[in-house]
Amino acid sequence: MAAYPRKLLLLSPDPTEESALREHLSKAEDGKYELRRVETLEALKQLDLVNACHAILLDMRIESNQVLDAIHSIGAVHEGVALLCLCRNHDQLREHKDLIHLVDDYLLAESLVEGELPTRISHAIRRRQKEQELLSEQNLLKQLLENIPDAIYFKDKQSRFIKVSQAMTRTYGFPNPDDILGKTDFDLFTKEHAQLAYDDEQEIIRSGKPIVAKIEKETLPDGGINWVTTTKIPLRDAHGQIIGTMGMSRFVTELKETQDKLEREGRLLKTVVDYALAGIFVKDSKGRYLIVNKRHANYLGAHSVDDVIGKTLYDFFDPVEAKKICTSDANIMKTGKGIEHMVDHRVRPDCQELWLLTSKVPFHDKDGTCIGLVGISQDITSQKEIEFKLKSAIHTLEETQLQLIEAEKLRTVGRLAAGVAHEVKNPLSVVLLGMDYLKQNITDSKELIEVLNDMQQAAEKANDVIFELLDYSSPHEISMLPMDINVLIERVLALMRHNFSEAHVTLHNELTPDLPLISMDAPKMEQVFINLVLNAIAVMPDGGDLTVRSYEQRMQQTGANVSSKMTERFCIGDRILVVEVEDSGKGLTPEDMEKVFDPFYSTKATGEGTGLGLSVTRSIVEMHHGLITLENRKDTPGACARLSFPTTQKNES
Amino acid sequence: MPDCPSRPHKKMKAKITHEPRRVLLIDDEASFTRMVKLNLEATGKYAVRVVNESPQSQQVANEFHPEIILLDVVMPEVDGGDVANQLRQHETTKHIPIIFVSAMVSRRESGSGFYKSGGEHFLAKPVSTELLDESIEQVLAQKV
Repeated sequence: MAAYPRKLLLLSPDPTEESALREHLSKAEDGKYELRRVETLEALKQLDLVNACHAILLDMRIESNQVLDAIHSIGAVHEGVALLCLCRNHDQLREHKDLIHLVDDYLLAESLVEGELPTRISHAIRRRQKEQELLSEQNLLKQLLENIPDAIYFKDKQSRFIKVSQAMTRTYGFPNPDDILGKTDFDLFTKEHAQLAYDDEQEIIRSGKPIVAKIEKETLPDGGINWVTTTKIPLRDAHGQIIGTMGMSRFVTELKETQDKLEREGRLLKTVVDYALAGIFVKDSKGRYLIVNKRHANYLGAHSVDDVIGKTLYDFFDPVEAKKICTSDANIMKTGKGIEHMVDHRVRPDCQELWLLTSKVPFHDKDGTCIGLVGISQDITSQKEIEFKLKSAIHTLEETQLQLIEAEKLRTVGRLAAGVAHEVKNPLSVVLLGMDYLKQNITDSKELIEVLNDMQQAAEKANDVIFELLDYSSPHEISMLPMDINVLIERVLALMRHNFSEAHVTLHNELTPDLPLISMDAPKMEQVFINLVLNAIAVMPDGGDLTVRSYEQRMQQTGANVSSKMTERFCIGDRILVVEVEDSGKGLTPEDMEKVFDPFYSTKATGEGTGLGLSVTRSIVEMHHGLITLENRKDTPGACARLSFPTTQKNES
Repeated sequence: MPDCPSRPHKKMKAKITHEPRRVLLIDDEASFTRMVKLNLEATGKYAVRVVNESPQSQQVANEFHPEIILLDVVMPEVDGGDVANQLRQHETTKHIPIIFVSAMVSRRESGSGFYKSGGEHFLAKPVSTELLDESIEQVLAQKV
């Protein structure tokens, strides 16, 4: 409703008309009117009509060609201003009857009764304003329906469309909104969706209860899919009676797809993290675990992922250890520089040692601010153990190599000494025997006897020197140390690997682990096994199988399968450590069996060996209070050398 | 060298009670065999036959019928071990006791110079006439 005072504008060439109208308006009961007159249409056009007036009175006495112009101009400027024609009388009214329907009202100046003018003006203003409001609301609805990207629809009780938005028309492939009217969801969608929507709407009509923000999957006849979020409410008439439904569906297909994609990616990430063959973790800037997989939880000594989330390293390690890692983490977040392949040695709360290979990178939000770090840890404990074992093995090998070099040196000296001994001892024998002979035959000269004695002593002294050389070259200083015989055998086998491959002999290692230690002189015992293995290889000129076996047994009562030598050497109940070296050669003849340990006895062709090997072997075994026997294998061709040692030495010498 | 008994040692002459024992000495060192022969025969107890070339050992042993054989270990052509194997395989010589005479032994192995190892008798060079005599007597006594 327009406010008072009501501003009126009079377009009239007659100044008396203004005063006549003022007279009428002064008697108005509904309030104050302000009247202003302009003489020409041009003058009127200069004014800001919207703010200047609520109604315009058009004196029809202005030049007739200007009347229509005036009506159009005013109407075009502002539809909110009421326009009234002021005719003199019925004749003039008749004259302009074609124009009357273009204005809000007309007045007959000559027959205005008291109070008529303000009443008619007020009504015109009010009518004009109502019309304007209605138009404005219609326009809002029109704008809404034409421009909103959502589907808006009004339906009758049978769920037939009675009005829809432009967006909906477009989306479902109709040229204009009217084409969709009278149709139902069954015309737009497959039955799958249409039925659900229809049931929803009928329920709203029945109950009056709205459906708000329901996520719906619309399935189209062409196979297309729309995801929408739908709100539907009952449509009521002026009396509040439900006459249908109205609703709005927002198209969220892209949002839904993005959401699904995010969810898929999230699931994928979780799968990768959960099943990765490494420990994966994410920590916030305070070092609290945000994400951790089961594997990493185990590295921390926790039973489950839930036991780790929200906790820090201080919950799992001693403060010194935890602080060290936290400082490193803080540095990564501060500098933005990750670390790669850091070898981490940790002791878990259960005291288990753990070696980890860890890489960590800072974790940024979308603004580039560091908000934590992401890490991946691989358990390399077993690799580390192998590395340590390897190092130890290399160390042992180096030591063995040194020992072998030393042994080889001694062997060289030995060979030299043996040669020297042979060459010198024969002449010495001649000299000494010669002097024996001379001493027997010279009896008359005491001086000559003395000379011969001196010469004999000198020759014996020379002989002593040779003995010393021989003694030096055969290292007989025994150093008995408790040892695992398997270790020693493995060492020998490793060193002789190339002998096996050269001779096409396959080695079968059947050593029983964890045997009791026995006291032995390692270099001598090595010589034993080298001799046995070399002999075994020699009896298999076309290749074959060589088995080295070790085990522990208890000395049984005397019986058919216990040799008399065994009963001589061991007591019943003694724990005996046995090592067997078996070949797949031709085996031993009965003659071999009898003499195989005799010095100079050899099965090798003349010139291939002096036959001292097994004799020396037996000496060494006996030095260790052991027993060596040689026999043919029972089930298959080949010989077996069996060494038996007491596990507790009877008498250390 | 004359193949006749040499002049006996004065102090050993008294011990002679029977015919000299036949000793076959096999060694490639001629000077050594000469000295052993001289000294052993000087005792008047032994008649020594020398072989310096080991392949002839069997033939000489067959002819000479020694009661004991002194056998060098390290020899060119056929070494002592092989000579021993050969003699022991032969019907006429297999029963004859052998003493190996070797320069290749250490004092620890040889002990006093005459020792037994693996069922065999050994004498370490250099050997004195006295030890030679004692060793031969000991082995012959065992055989009898």
